[in-house]
Amino acid sequence: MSANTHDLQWHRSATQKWFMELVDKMMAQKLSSRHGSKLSGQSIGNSELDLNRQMAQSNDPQGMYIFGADGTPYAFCNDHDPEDLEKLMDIGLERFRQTPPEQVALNEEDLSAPFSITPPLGTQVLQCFSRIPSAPDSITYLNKGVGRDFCWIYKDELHEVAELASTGQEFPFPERITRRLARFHFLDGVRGTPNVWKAREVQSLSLKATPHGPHQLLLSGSFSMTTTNQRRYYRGLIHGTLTIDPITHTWSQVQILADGTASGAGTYTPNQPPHPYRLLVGLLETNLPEAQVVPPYEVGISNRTTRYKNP
Amino acid sequence: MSWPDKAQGEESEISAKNLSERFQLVEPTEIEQKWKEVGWRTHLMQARQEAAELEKPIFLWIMVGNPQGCT
Repeated sequence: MSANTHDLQWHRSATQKWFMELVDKMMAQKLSSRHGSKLSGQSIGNSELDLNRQMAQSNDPQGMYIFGADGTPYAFCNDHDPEDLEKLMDIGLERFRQTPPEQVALNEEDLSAPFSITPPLGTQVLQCFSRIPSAPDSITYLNKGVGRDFCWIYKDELHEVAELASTGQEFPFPERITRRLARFHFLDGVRGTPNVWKAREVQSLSLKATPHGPHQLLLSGSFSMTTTNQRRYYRGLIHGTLTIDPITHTWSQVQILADGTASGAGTYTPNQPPHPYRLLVGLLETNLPEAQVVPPYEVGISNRTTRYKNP
Repeated sequence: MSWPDKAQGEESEISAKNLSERFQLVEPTEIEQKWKEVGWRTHLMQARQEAAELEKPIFLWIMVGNPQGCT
């Protein structure tokens, strides 16, 4: 099971209350099971107080938990090293066998209770990936990862694009979609939590659509975002293609690509390549079940859709 | 608008014609998608129900931003 810390810690719900009680129990029993971490270089057996220390220092319950359905806590750690995780699961399973949970019966209300902000009916969800394709071996390995997110295209926007495309003439892509892509998805999410762009940081932005064949659009444009202090930027070109279903107006065969140059560290994403680097952000359609549950980063963090829908 | 269009030691001709080639650079590889095969649940209460029925413990991974998305 995976979840957003913000949903479990801050967004008031029965789920949030239940989870924070679990955190309290985990802390009370000091069940952090850090058996050394290759990532941090600490020795085996050092620190049994990860969760307690995290919560004391920054009120942050991020990490991996193992517990029973009744809330019996078994283990916690916040290391992502595969060997550490295997040890965590071994410890958790052993404790589960020693102290199995009691039977629980959840009611329908709990099972169907909203857990996070989900896309409105008729919204199309796209997957979003970011990548630094030329990350040299000399820099932090985190630069070789892939950033992920989901992107929402609202029902009325799908209709608007379909109507504009039906004219057969080239048209400017709806500004709301273009600005949403630029501000909340053309981000360097490769090394972790990215900074979204403020409205005033969008220096220039354009995206046009050209009908090409039955129900197909070719997209082309450009973008430039820069922080006020000029320390971080991302600028480049946009190319894309998508096919519009004539009945539902949903998109298929989607490939939207931002290809540009980025520079500068994010608040939580230091250790970027030392020089301006190529950054790619791609969007494509998805039918993953989690796409209907996991909102775009901006929505999940702010717990609202206002700014995301009207950037 | 001008910007460096050459990555380190790599051809990077930007054009609509090579969109698919460039798009492949950003898509995750099979290895990078392997963790998805776990079959992650995303509703805590439903996960509790399932764990109770299967008599298994729950492994919960939380980050600022769901790990299934941006984090």
